Formats: sequence, structure tokens, C-alpha cells
Amino acid sequence: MQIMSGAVDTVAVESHSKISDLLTYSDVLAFALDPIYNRPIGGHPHYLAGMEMRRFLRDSKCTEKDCARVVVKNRTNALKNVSSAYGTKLTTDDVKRSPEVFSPLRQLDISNLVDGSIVMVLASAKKAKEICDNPVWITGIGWNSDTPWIENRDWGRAEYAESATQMAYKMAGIKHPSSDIDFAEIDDKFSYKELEHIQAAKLCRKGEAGKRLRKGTFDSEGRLPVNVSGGSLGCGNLVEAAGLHRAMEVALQLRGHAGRHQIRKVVKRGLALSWRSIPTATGGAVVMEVGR
Amino acid sequence: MRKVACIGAGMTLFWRRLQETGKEMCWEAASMALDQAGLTLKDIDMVVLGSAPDAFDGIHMKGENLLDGAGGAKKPYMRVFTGGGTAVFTPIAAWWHIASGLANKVLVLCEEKMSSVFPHPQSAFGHIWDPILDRPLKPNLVWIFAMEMNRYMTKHGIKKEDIARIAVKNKRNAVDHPCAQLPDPNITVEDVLNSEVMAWPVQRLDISPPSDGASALVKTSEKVAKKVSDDIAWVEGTGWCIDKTMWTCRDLVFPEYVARAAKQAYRMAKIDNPRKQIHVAEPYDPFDYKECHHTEGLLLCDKGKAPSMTKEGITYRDGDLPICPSGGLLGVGNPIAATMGIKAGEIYWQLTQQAGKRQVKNDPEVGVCQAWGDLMQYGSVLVMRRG
Repeated sequence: MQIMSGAVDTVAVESHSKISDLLTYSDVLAFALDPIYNRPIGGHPHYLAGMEMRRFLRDSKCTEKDCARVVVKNRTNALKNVSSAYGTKLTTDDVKRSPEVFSPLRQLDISNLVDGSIVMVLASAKKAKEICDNPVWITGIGWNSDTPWIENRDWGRAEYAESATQMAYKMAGIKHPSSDIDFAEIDDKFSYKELEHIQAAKLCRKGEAGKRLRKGTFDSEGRLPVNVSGGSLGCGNLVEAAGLHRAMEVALQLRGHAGRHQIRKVVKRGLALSWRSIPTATGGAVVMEVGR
Repeated sequence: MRKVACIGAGMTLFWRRLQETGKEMCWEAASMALDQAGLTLKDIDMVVLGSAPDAFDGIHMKGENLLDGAGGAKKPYMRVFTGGGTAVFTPIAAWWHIASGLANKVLVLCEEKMSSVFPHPQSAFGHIWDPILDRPLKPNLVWIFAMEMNRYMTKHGIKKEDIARIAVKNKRNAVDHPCAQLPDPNITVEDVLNSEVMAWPVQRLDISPPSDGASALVKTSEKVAKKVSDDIAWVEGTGWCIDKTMWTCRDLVFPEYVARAAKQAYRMAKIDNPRKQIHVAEPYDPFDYKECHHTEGLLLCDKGKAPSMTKEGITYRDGDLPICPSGGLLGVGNPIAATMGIKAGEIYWQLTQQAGKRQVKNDPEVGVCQAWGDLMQYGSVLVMRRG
């Protein structure tokens, strides 16, 4: 917006996490709950993710095993990403054997917190053409917040992500996201969230995220690779910087700079989708393209 | 660049408001601004909220907690934060939303609730310092300001009573503000000079009080504004700038960051002689000397000459260049971000002749407001012109 308004030509965008300084993550998270109605309930606020996962599984035809498949896919993908911290070979049985911490959410369904910093440089079209040979164009942006009351949300779907992606698609002139978008980097702070967000972004038909995942559509070699970088499950959860991390990975892929985790097929248009994590219902989406 | 209009403003009483939640205060200010603009929440495309550190309200990610009170639920909603600078930075962020073409009608909210911090918000400020170099010294904000004020007075040979006169002006101006926390119609320079010394040369009455409150603006595109409103102020220029993180490396005499932000805004507004072309100003005045600092940073007078402007009567409501006609933070109160109501809000009311008893006498066409924040090194500047 700063560039589109004409106020400035170039902007550096920085976002970082230094979460290792924090010893009491769950206590700080509890401070994000409404002080009168929700905070007195106590406990680690991740119980909200457990409740949401159960409702999502009931509404969506996805299974716990599909969520485990997301974990396996992303952590395997991360093995090829040099800046990832949690790349490893796992099986769905490993996930199933991990302790059920916030039923049905298991230990391995939750991304691990990491430190890191992301920087992107944005420029106006005129400036970009002057200083850069292969710019990536931002063709659509969108963001949205659902109600802050956890009691009032539709728990079976990510309404904020639906609205945010719709806004971005409209700006980018995308009518059929599942065929118009070549690949996506999608928030996966919890395994089920990736599936929920894929459906919200209309990258598959409603209720088909699990089925598509099983068919390999979202694998790095698939028709619509999702989180080739490894996502938050594979790279680690950069907390508030995780959204810019998703956007940066899209830019790297489009420029062909992703190194060992570069998608083999030619990619021209990617989607990054972020979520602000528990207990919020806030998300952002950005569509980026090359070769325009 | 699309033209952006301000067509409504609202604010709550600034006070210790333990009985109300931040959401409720947001709602109160937002409804006032929407009523004045003649719009309802359904008309609004996007919402921008400004609020300073989460520590004050005691709510982590408090922008999320406030979002329904601010009218942001199920809309593109954004919280911005540049410390005290938020008060003018939030309307600047709203300007991007419209100038970029993304939105036509934006609701701008600022909220702060400092009374939740026990025993005093000062304890939350203890965490803003560099953890390695500064924090072990256990600094207190007032000490730093005392050093800055001392340096300013020493460098320019300014007397304490000339600075105290600004506190007197603002607290007397605040008498006419219905939201004011510390108005005093009878205050004198002697009262300020005899008040308790906090850290020399800063005395109790040199400082603005911590406060709770919310304020709101409605901004729209040119087309919408002309259709729905007769009381329009155009946003003509915006500027923002930040200096070094370490306060030990800064010029304590002149706020260069404010000057750069002001130059950016003036360039956009095509103002080349601010002293002549600006008719009313609302610089950030959490301390009386800060009004002087910022008046100079806004290039409204020469360096070191701001205190004499008040001595000569130029900055009063009937003067040539009224400064802080609202009563400022010193008089109305300092709920950090929510001071938008007495900065951008006041300039809007002054330019559209809606300030009532506070109305300045020089029939202003162009006004400037400014806020200052982050680690005392951030300036945000907004220039408006009457429609």
C-alpha cells in the first residue's frame, strides 16, 4: 500500500522471531485470550487447536491419518531446504505414536518454535524494472479477521482465509484457483490447518483436501505442490514472522532460487497464505507471479 | 495518488476508566465518528486500529481482542503500532489504504488503556530499554527526558519558566475540551515551577498524565466524501521517519527525525514555507519542552526559538499560529495512541470550524499534526487542508 499510494518507491519488509528468549510461551499465549470470559479457564491455549481439529475432521471428510500425512510430507520436504530446522523422515505411524497432547492433536501435529528473520524488498513497477532483471510481481493481496470471540466462530472452516484469498484472487483476476495457481505456501502451524487452509483457499473442492493429499496432488512433484519449503512443520514456526516466511518461499520458487527444493515443473503463479495462530482468526494472502 | 478526505472524528473522555473494556471505548469513539460522517459500519470497507504496547492493556495481541469493538470483524483489519507515534501514524496508514486504491471508506481507531498496569504504567516502560546496555541501569523514562530537556535548555540558554508557560497554555486550553483529564483554568507558571521535582529539570506539572481512552476518524476517497459530507478536510501530506535505536547516539537538542518526516509531508503537500502556509499545529506534547522540540522539528520556527513564540503570544488560540489549541496531552491527557483525537482529530475539527469554544481565530486553511514515539526516536506527520 505504501508503494501503491505513491508515497515511496522501495520498501524493505522485515519480520523476525526470537522466541527462544521466551520461557513461558503458553502463559504469554494465555494473555491473548479474553481476560474476562476465556482466560480464567486456564490450561495451555493449544487446547483450542485440539477442539478446532476435532470439529474440522468431523466436517471435512479428512482423517487423523491425513493430518499425519501432512506432517510426513512437510518434514520430508524440509530435508531439502537449507534453512529448515526440523527436516526428517517420518511415517504416519510415527505421528500416530506421538503423545496425544490436545486430543486429537498429537505432539508431531504441532510445529516447533524457532528463531529467524525474513527480509523482502518491494519496489514500484518503474523502479523494479530499473534495478532488477527478474522481478516477481505481487498481483493480489488480501487480509481479513473473523470475530475475536472464540464462541462465535464457525469452527469447521477458516472463514478469515476464505475472505482473504477471495480478496487477493479478485485483485489478481483469478477465477479458478485450483487450476490457475501453480503452487502454494500455506500456513501449517498445526497439521490440520494446512488442510483447512487449502479448502479455504479453494485449491480443491470442498471436503476433498484429504483425498487430494492422498492422491499426491500437494506433493512436491504433484500438480499443485503445497509447502515444498517444508512449511512451519518442517522449517519451524517463526510465530509472527511465519507469514512473511511463506511469502518469501513463494518468491524464491518463482525466481528459481529455491536451490534443492526448487519445484521441477515451471511455476509462474504462487499463493502464500498466513494465519496468526491461536487464539486468533486473522489471516493474509498474497498472489505472486513472474513473466508478465 | 488518489485524494483522501477526513469526514468525521470522535473521541471518548480521557480518564482512568477501569469500569470499561477497551472494546467498549473503541465502540464509543467509532460510533461518534461514523455519526458525524453520516455512515454506518456496513458502509466501511476496511478498519485500521492503532494501539501502543500490549503490556498496558494486559492483553497479548490486543489488536485482535479490540477488533470487534473497533468494527473490524469480518473485514480487512489491521493494527499498526509505532509507540506514541501511533497517534498520527494510524491515520497515515489509513491514508495508504485509500490512496493506493484498495479501499474507499476506512474507519480509523486508536485505543489505549493504561490503568490496567499496576501500580503504574511506568513499570511497563522498564522493558523498552536495550536488555544488555541500558536495562541493568534500571532507567526510568523521566530520567531520559530530564537529560533531553536539560540539554535543550543548556544548548539554547532557555529559562525553565519559558518552558513552564507551555504547560500553563495547554492546561488552560484544555478547559474547553469536554474530554479533558487535567484542565486547570487558574494554573500559573509559579504552580509549575513549584510542583514536585521528578528528575531535574522535569517537574510534575511538566508531564502529561497516563490515561485511558479511544479516538476515531472516518476517511474516504474523494468521490465518497463529496457525496456524503459537507465538512471535509483533505489529507495533503504524510511523512514518517525513525532515528537510531540507541538513545545515546542521538542528537538530544533537535529532533532530526521529526524534521525529515515533516519535509516528506510538506513536499507532498507542496508547502515550501511552513511558517506562512500552516495556520494551526498540533505537535505531540507529552512534556512541555517536547512541544518546543517538535514545533522546531516541524520547521515552524528557528532552532531554540519555540519557547519565545509562546512568550510573545503567537501560539495561543487568538495568535498567528495556534499550537495545541485542543489542550494537548498536557491538558487533555495522554492515552498514548488514542491521542489521535487531540492531534489528527483536533486538526480536522479546527479546519472544518467544528471546534466550538476551542476554535482558533485565524480562520485556518492548512493544519499539521505530529506524534512522536517508539523509543523516543520516531516522528509521524500529517498535513490537512480544509475542503
